[in-house]
Amino acid sequence: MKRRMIRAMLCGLLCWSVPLLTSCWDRVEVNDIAIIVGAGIDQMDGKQVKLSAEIYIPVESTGEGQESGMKAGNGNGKTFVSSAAGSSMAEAMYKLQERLSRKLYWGHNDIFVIGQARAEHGIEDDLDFILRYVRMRERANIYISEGSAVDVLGIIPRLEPNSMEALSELSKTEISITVDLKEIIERIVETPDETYAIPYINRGKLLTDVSHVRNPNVPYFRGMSLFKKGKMNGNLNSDLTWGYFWITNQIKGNTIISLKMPEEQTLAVLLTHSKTTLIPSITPDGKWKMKIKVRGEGNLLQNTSSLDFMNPAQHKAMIKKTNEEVEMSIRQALKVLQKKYKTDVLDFGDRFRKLAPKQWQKEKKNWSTMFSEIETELDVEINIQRPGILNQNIKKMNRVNN
Amino acid sequence: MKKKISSFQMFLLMFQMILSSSVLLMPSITTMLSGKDMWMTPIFSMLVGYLTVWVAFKLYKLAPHGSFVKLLESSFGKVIGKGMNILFIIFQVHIIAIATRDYGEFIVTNFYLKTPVYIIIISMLILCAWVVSGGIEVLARTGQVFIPIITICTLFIFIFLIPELDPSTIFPMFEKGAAPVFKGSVVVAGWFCQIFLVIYILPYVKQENTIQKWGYICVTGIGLLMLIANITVFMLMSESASFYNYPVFTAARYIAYAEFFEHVEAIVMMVWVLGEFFKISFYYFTIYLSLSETLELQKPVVIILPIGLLLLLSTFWLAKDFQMIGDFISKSGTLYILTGFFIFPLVIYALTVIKQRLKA
Amino acid sequence: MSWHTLITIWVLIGGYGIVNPSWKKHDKKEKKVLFSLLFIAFVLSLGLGLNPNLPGLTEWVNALYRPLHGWLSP
Repeated sequence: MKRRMIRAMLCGLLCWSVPLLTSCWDRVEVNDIAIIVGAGIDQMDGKQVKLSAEIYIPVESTGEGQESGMKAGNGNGKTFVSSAAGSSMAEAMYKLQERLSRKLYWGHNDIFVIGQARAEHGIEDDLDFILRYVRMRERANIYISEGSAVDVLGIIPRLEPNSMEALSELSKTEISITVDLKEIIERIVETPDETYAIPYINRGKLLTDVSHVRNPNVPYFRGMSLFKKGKMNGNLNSDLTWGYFWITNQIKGNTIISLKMPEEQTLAVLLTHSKTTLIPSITPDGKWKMKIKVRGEGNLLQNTSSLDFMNPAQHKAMIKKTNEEVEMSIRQALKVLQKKYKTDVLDFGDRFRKLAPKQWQKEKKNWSTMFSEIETELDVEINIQRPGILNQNIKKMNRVNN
Repeated sequence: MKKKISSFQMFLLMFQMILSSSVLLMPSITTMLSGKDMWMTPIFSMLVGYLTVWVAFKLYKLAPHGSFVKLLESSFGKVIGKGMNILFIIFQVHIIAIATRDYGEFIVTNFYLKTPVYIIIISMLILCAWVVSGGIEVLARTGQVFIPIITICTLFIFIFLIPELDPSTIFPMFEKGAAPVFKGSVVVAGWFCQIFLVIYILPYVKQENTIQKWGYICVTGIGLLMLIANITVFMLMSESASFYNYPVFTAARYIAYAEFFEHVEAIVMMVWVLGEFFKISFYYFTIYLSLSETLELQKPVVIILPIGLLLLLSTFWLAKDFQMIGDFISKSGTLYILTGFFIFPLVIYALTVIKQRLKA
Repeated sequence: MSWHTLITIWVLIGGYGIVNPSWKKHDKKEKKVLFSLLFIAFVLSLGLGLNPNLPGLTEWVNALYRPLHGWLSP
């Protein structure tokens, strides 16, 4: 009798615990959720913030199988954009939920696009919400868009299922970098003025399908936007961004260095790898200096100049020209960052902190002024290793006339 | 008392008992106190661990039948001894109430936002009551099965984070001198000294001559794993780690490989639930054991459920909410734990040795 | 904890005691200990039900160690 009772109790316990595994209070069915694939944050009038979410529309697979097979290039998911405004992001999310029949699901969201007006107003409130809410992910990438974010969200590019996929894929190429939430929080905690740089993308109106047909050259990325103390205070255009990448060792392979040559000559180098080292130093009389050492390798991509690759002296001249080009772009970026914006997104502060901790503690309170006065010394060496497949440039290939 | 468990099982139980709560919570508190040097703190607190193991072993040798309860009674007289035992039991109830509530808050904050926290605590306590009624052998064998799995999963999380780490974040070292490291070490020592509870299960260990060796290996292993956890979390997040409530959980959420190996925080939940199960069961077992020996019960099985009920009520009486636990752990809680598990045994040992010398 | 949970818990305990009467077979001493523990739990649950913020041991310990807080602040 006793054994039977114990067995009955154990079975009862098992049966009772199984429903609990589905978490009665917290269960959400899969077809009750709205999957967010991209989020946009914009500034509205009167200090309101508008939260837009690009939501994935799941396609019914049975019955339309043959049709969607033929349109395979478009991807199988369409999205729609829904937005709502509130006095803070949390309130905006609540209002957004009111408009949707399904529960918002943030687990697949990898992108936050912040409109320029909001960035200039200050994004710290939004960052607090994104980090604190348990359902968001720290791996999400952040972008600033010129204009408003909601325009960027609704674009359906030709090659990818939605604009957010396009942005992620573009970030992985050499054109731009990814900046995720964790890096931003690290920069906020560690740098004295909370300085960081976030990729800056073009206005939505330039990127829509229609103008893509007319302006196929419009890139997604315009450069980097600079932040200080949570507010956007400037941006770097694509040329200056290139210099920024050189200094912070974020240049990826396959970058094309195109040199400025006189009168219809062209010279271009395809970079394979490079490494930038920053060497800080403090001279005995208290001047702070930074030496930027760049070492890289590349292959010749295009050469219709008078310089011949196979000639050692002219090869050296080619290398010298390439070095000068890189140095010039680094100097331009440094000038803008140091003099115009006084924003240390280059991690100079961190280097000095590692070099001389005690002096850094004293100087870090007015780091913006100190940063603008740092003298920089450049040491660039890009070795051009291979000429590609041709060994003579096209203009000199005519043997009949020689 | 019959000898039932091997010293390796003892090692596994103590290893998991201390690690379960520390790996998840500690990086945040130590980063707040020690800044960039937080990764060094387990190294210095291991000394406290070694000392505690030594004291526990010495007290076990001095005790009649190896029982700490009987030692207190024989050294200080029946009444004072029983009173000290009861106070020590209340101390243990206090500590485990805080740990249980912390466990409940973690699960509710991160996974089950709407579930009432007492459901989670009740289900854990019922399971622990069941294990304790089986005896130390059941707990040790369960440990032998699960604890290696827990350790391997924890190490996997840290191994997968290796590509994301930035080693230059630990420089400059000793930026603000050695005092911050010392403060962080005191907090970590608060976890290490809980290994004193091994004294309650030492009478059950079969191989007496290897107890000390396994105890020291245990402390070394704990220190090593804490070091790995600290270094990984710090190199990933640098000083922003102090602003996250659960840094290891946040770090595990960061893992993303080849766009498909993502969202591995479920592993953290599994590791945390299993680990806390062992910690809560162990404390439950020592409370049950010391209560039954203090009150000299012959068949003490019947008091397991009332103890469980008292534990449940203490989690709501002694650890009211998240803010109180956080405040307690980082400030007075550390000194309180150190007093109970480090200073108290040392004082008992000194007094007992002096008494024995005086008698001889 | 609201009164609902406390009453449910006590009813379940009473139910368990009735369904599994093995506790009756123990000695008097063990039954005394059992009931005194249950009594302490009962008093505590009454206290918690009336005043969920019942001041407990933790406040006392906090007050005791407050002067030493300065040691452990960053």
